[in-house]
Amino acid sequence: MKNNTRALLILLLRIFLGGIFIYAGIGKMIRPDLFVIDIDNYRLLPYLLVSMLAVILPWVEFVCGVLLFAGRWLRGASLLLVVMNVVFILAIGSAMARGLDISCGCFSLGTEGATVGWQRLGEDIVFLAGSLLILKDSAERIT
Amino acid sequence: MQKYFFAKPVLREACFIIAIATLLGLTANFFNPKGVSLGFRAPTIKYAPDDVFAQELPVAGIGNPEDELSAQHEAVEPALISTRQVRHLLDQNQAILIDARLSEHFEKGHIPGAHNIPFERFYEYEERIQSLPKDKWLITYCDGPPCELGEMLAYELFHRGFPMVAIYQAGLDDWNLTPSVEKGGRSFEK
Repeated sequence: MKNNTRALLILLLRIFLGGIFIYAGIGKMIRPDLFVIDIDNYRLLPYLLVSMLAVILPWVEFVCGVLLFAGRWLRGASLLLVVMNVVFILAIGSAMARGLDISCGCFSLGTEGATVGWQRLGEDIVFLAGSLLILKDSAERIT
Repeated sequence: MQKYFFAKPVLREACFIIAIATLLGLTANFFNPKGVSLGFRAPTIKYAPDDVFAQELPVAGIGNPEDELSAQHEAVEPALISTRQVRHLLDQNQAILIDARLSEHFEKGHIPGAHNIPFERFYEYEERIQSLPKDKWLITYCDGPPCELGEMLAYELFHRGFPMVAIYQAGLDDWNLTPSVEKGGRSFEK
């Protein structure tokens, strides 16, 4: 019973996080020209990396979201989500520490998106925790 | 030992996902009209040439479909304008600056002489918008990238029949690099 409950919780978590990252990815892959501005505003990377990230990152989010939904390649997908969320948390934290008033580029773009702040930071911490749980669960199923 | 064996397939899956996402991303970017230019430097902004702003200003009354002069003048879709071009038009008294940000941001600091029509409360300023002159350039701006309020306000004004609208995309951030920014009032009343 305990295993069934845990499996159900992990399934719900996969669906929730999968939907979140599919939604996040689609918004950015449609308008990479706006997403590149959002990334560039963090003032952390040279433009070549910024432009590559703007093109590739939304698709990484989307593919990971689909894989979470489908229950395939869970280890790789959840690991990438863990890494991405750690990077997002560090980037948002860095922007807050430097007093940058910028769109976080999390779900929507440019001026339509929410600015960096504690709420966005909190959301990413929740997503990180969820990704870690899925990663841990998939590791325990294999070993 | 078990952790070691776990790590290899995990990394392999992650690499495959990144490879697939990279392929899809580069392909989509190639066909996307809003795609990103991949390069070492950000693409430079293509400002409208000087002769766009040097054309003879329409006589007052432009925008009235019954006016012959209005019918002869071809409205210019909002063009991107540089700081140098803004200064020139202001010096010639041929332009009005309009700050598209919210009033509270406007009052903290704005370009000297600018008026405030917050795009996010556009419909509260209808009367004032209708009183804007049609024989001068209306130059909209906000903070600078990624703020797009200036651009959105410019298109709104253009679609409402103002023929001479320009977007000062570099905005207040760029203007701050030069002489002083004015603080306090001169906002349009609602």
